[in-house]
Amino acid sequence: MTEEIAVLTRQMEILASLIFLGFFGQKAKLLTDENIENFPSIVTRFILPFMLLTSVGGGGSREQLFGMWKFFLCTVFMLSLALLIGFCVSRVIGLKQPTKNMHILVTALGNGGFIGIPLVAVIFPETSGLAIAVFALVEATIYWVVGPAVADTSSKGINLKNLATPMTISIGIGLLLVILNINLEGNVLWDTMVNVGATTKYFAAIYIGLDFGRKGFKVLFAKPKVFIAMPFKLLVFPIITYLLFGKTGILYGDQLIMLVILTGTPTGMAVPLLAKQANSDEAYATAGTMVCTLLCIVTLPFVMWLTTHL
Amino acid sequence: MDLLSILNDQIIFFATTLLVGFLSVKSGFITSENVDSLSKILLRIIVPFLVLTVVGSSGTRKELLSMMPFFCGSVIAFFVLLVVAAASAKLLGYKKPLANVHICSSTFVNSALLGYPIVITMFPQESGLAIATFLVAETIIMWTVGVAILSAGSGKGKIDLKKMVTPVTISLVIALGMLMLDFHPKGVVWDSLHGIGETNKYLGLIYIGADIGRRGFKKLFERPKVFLVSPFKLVISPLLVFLVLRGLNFLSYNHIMILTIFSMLPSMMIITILSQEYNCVPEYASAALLSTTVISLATMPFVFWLVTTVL
Repeated sequence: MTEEIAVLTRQMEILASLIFLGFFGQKAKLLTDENIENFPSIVTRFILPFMLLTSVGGGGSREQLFGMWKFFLCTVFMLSLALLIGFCVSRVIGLKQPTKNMHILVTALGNGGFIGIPLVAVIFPETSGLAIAVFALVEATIYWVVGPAVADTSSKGINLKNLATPMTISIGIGLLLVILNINLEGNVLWDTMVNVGATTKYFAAIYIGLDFGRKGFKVLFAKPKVFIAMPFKLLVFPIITYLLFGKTGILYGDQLIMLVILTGTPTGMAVPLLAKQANSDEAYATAGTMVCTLLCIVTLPFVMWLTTHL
Repeated sequence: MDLLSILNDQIIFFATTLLVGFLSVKSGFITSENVDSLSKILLRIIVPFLVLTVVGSSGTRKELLSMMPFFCGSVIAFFVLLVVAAASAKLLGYKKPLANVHICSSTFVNSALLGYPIVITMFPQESGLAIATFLVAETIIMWTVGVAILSAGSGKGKIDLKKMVTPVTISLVIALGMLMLDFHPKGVVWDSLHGIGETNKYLGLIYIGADIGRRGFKKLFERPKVFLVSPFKLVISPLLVFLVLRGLNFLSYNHIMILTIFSMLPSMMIITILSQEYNCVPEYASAALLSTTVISLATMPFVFWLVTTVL
């Protein structure tokens, strides 16, 4: 565990450096707002799908995939619990619509794609592929099916078509490769995709910095109530994950630590996008995302350290 | 592994990565707008960090100062490329402004996106200082001689020195300053910068593939004469550079090979942008970029085989 904490701390230092470099790049006007807006498209439509495809496709055997059912159920449980806690807290603190629903999403939706998955892939290069696939599929379902329905208070229901994204398609292809026991390692095309996917860490973090730069730090304090979501998102959920599944023996070893990290990621960068699409409280979503992202640099290593003392 | 095998592996890797970029655009995964932004990200963030970290970590002040012969070799290489380009323009009967854009497309090379990764892989020990020195020569010649030739195409013949100030040249100056001060940073921030720079190898090629995908191959056949750039630029010029530098006998074998590799690269991307700015047949520059990039996948191993085994 000490080794994992050291690797995680090192990764968080790199993440902080990259965010700072992105922030500085924006302030130095190296990229325009238009270029920055294209950044997440390049990551989510191109680089991250390659990472998911190759991590999942090279992540294990068919038997190992079928053995992930407990991890799947634990992920579903934790993300559902996060939605429920977000809902309860939003009621307790007396938020009104549309901020109320936005608070639920800020509390529940993590940043698996830009932070959690790249981190887990670096810390557990051998064992993370299938865990990433399972978590990303559950998270994508909540993001793109439940998320828009919650964000839009006038929504009549959920749209399953939203699930078909380059990321979920690549996970699907990756899972198919695992089920069919197809191993493409050593193939030039596959290796190229592996290497392109490995650049996710850099581009995702730089984008976060660029986005901070253009939005400015003022937005952090624009909606002070969003700070109430922070302890839940960054501390309570990963600790519950550890206690609930670790102490009972449901999950153990790498799988347990991976789920702790993935449930401890900050609010996802796509939450402000969901708010914008639904004409909801975008300022609240932006403040939540930025505050959480900055704090996670400290909270993720802290949670990992705490789990060694629980 | 011998140098030819390393180069062959690099070419296979290049072709595959170009194909990935090409297919990404054709399948609609990335849009033309994304491709435009990718080029800005490359030229303003990734390549500057690559230059900063590769050059900044490349050696000591003493080693940098010992690169003067290589600088002279780089200038000679550009002179040879320029002479061959001008001669081929005359031979093909090109008139102004076509001759001007042909000369620039044939002289300047895609060093940042294609040359640096090859040189770093093949000559890991010497690549840092060699890239720094070549970049100094390239920047000076490109933004003075190159711009003068292109602007003369539309009748002005004006040099704009302010355009030499780009994120890449600023990084180069910082890196050279660090070398002169014998300042060698280490730690997380430096490693992060290095990591960003290293992504050039993949993203640069993907960008070129994606750019080819969105421009389409039709452009090539609209101007079939553009295919005549390739034999001069991709075969004759690098062979002459090799022979001249070997004949002058003042550079080490590895330095001659590095300059030969730079000389065998396809056209520089920025020529397309500059030819648009100076209204100097931009379609020709774009078609030359496309054709030399695709054809170079076959000519680079061939030329390298010639210089290492035949000549």
